[in-house]
Amino acid sequence: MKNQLVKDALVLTVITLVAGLALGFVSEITKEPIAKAEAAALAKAYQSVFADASEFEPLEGFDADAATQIGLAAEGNEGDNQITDCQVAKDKDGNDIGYIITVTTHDGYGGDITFSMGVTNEGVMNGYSITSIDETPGLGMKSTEEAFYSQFENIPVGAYTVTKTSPAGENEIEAISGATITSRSVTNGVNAGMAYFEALENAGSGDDADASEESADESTEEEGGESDE
Amino acid sequence: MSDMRIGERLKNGILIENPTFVLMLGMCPTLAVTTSATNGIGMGLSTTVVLTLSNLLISILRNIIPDRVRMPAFIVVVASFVTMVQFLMQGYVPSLYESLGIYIPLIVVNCIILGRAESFASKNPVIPSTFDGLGMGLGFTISLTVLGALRELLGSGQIFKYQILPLADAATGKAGYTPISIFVLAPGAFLVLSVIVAVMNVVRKKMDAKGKPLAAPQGCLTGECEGCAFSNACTGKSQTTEAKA
Repeated sequence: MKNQLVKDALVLTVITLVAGLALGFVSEITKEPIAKAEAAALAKAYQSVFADASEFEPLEGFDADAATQIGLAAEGNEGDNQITDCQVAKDKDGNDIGYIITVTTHDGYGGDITFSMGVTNEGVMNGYSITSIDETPGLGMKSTEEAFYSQFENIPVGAYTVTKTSPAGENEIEAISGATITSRSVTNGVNAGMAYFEALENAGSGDDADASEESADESTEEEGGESDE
Repeated sequence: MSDMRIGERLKNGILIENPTFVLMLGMCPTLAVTTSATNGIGMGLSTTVVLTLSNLLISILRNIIPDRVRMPAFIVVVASFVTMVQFLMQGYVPSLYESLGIYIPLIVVNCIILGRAESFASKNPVIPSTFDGLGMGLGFTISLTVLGALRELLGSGQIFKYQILPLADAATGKAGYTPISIFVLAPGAFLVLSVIVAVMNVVRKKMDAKGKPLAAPQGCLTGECEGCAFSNACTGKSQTTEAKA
């Protein structure tokens, strides 16, 4: 009886050990392809939101926590989201032409949505590209389709709100029908990213008073629009 | 002889004991992932790979694994294969990994895999076991693809992301199909599945009449616990079954 117990335990241990070794081996050989696939997906996302750029470099001294705080304090950001990465976009001569800001929002309908948005130094958003999403097909998944994301293309930096009717003001984004939660969480994330971009610009050069004044105007308009809802 | 056995195992898995529509096993992944035909086929094929490999290995080890620790041993084997499939998919087919991501670990607890390990692979030689896994996996794949295709068609007018039904456009007044979104949501899974099961019941009656009966359902859905592979160890048996026992 006792022998049987020892034998059972031994066999199970051997099986587990062999399985562990095999797993380690597979993990080792797939490490590189996985890293490559992830890098390729990211590069594709960056390129799609910043077609003019030929090179991307991580922003020096990027602090995700500080960036997230700036994002959360942003005008029009009512969501729970994080700024997880920021890259400097450079043209082929090596000049800085804008930023790629990666935002993860935690209030999507099916969990986190991560997207990268490209903003040029002129304060124009090129658009966003979603790298990780798990929304409902046919509803929230439409945020990856042109009809919705094209609303974020070539728009000035500011605070945006979601409307369920056709957009009346410049700072309104038309919600995906039946997927207001997804639309809101993406828009909140975009607002966070835009606020962080403004903070970067203000930190970078002192003569941005005009720009920030402009955005202040926009945000007052915004509040007016919101109270209507 | 062995050829016939192989063909028989494949036919068994795909039709006579089709895991989803006949045995009623593995309902959770079935309902969860079949929002599109692509997801269905992806989930089905990854399960097939795991099922075939785990049946093969468990059949090889069937005389080594002690009876009393067989369940943990099966789980370790299945979980290892699942993790390997996950790594490989992440590295080489990232787009499929992206859409199946959270369901892949669920293959570990898919009752089809444990059920086949317990009721077939642990009692039969290597070759039939391997083909049993392959047949069962293909049966599962076909079921999920059919379910996914129907839901995708009704829910978005597409099959394999290809627009089959032209969509109506209110703006231009174009007549066409208006997608019924509920079919890609959770309730739609139950609606489509119930219709398919009703159809299968007709098939079942026809096969019975022909004298070639399909297998009895095994899953917990039926309330009938006698046919279930886990009947001996199960603590949640229905009262009627317990009364009979």
